[in-house]
Amino acid sequence: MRTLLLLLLGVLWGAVGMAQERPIQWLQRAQQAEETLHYAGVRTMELRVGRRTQRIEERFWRQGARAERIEILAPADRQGEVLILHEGRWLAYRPQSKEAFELPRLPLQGAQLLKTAIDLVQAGIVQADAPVEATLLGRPCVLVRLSLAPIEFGRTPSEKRAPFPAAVSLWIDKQTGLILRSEVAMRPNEPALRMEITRLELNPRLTPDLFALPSGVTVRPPSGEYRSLEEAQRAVGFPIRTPRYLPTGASLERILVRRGSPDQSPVVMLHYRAPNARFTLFQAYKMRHALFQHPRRPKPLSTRFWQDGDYSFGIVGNLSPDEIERIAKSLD
Amino acid sequence: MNCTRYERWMWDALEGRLGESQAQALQAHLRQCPRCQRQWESAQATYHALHALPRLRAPEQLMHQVRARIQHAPARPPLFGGWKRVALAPALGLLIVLGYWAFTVRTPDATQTIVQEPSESWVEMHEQLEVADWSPTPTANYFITTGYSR
Repeated sequence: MRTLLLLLLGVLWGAVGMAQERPIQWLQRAQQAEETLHYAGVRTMELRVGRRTQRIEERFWRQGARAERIEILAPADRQGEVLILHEGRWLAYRPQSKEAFELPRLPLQGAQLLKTAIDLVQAGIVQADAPVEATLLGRPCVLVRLSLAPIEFGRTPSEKRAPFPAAVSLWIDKQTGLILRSEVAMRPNEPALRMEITRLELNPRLTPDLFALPSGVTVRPPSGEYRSLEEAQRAVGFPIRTPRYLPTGASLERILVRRGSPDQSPVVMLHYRAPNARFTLFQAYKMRHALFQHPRRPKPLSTRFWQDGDYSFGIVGNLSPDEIERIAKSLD
Repeated sequence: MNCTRYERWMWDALEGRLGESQAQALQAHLRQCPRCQRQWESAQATYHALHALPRLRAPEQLMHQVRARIQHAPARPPLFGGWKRVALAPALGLLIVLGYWAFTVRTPDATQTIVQEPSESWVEMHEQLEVADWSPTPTANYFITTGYSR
């Protein structure tokens, strides 16, 4: 009887101890799980921007941070497309077309994102609420909520406006440390990204061919995103203009060219990142005027749109209107 | 002490748009001005309360109901009839000439005309790029690059 009582107390103590682990310890566990675990399953992702919600469903196989395979299940017209992480690079291919292209350098993901969150929590820039017990897929997990700490004077500007969303919620599996669901809100009370694993298989059989391109598939340069302005310039029939003035520390992060349809003129997007801000410079030639017809919904972004002859320009970002004006006037 | 200027800066500070020197000046002012300190606390509370409000959507049927009402509304009698219609043509012509004159005189560099209506799709595109960075998988970025539908 005494032994049983001690055993029960031990189990209870263990359960309480697990729940009382600090948020940062759960984040560290999740980071370790991202880096090491072998698992597979199905997950859904929802991107909510403006009035639109884009839903993606994908089957995935993951071998820690070393290799990953993703097969698109939805949307229907992208079904069957495959993304493979192999030897540190992401390749995308459509089995029907027998061609693949290498994705350009991607922003931080998975374990790296978690590491950034941990660093910001440790620096006091991001605060973590006490973990809350939850259940997902029939598995016990903890919900860890992260948000930007209140604005305080005395910090440097880059710390005041850390590049972190307004709120991030992570449902972390207690047993494995895997993130089973995540929600990201770029502005308060506006969830913008939601990921949820709907089927999970731990330690599946992963064969090497899962993470390799089939024979006969040719790897081509990416279309749509470019590594340099020179490459993008070759794909666009009008001169791409760049600003002579940039805010301190700003650098060009992504170069994209979007075509609505083959008969439409492309839109060039230069996405810049500064320590305190992000902004995108848009430019198009002989653009259909329809693009300017929608009224703007209020949001904490600054915008400037203008035309110069047949050319249309736009700057969108969380910069001050003065900075945007200065960038606009410095276009070469 | 010019409190008005600091009151204006408070909102910029909350939005994260204040320069470093201005932030330091505001901070120094808040330390010595109890009135502005209270104002700052109140502004912070208002800012957080406003951002905590839920976003409400109009009911799906609203647009249909408004359209149906417009269609069934009784037609108005024409504003210009008879001799007024005849007088309208030269008056409109004069207005167009005056408008064109005012436009060319007031905008010396006509190529730099600012388009008033901003582009919703460009704003959305920027937001997608922002959000996709926090995606746990590369698919969101892949779709942003290649489009969501083929």
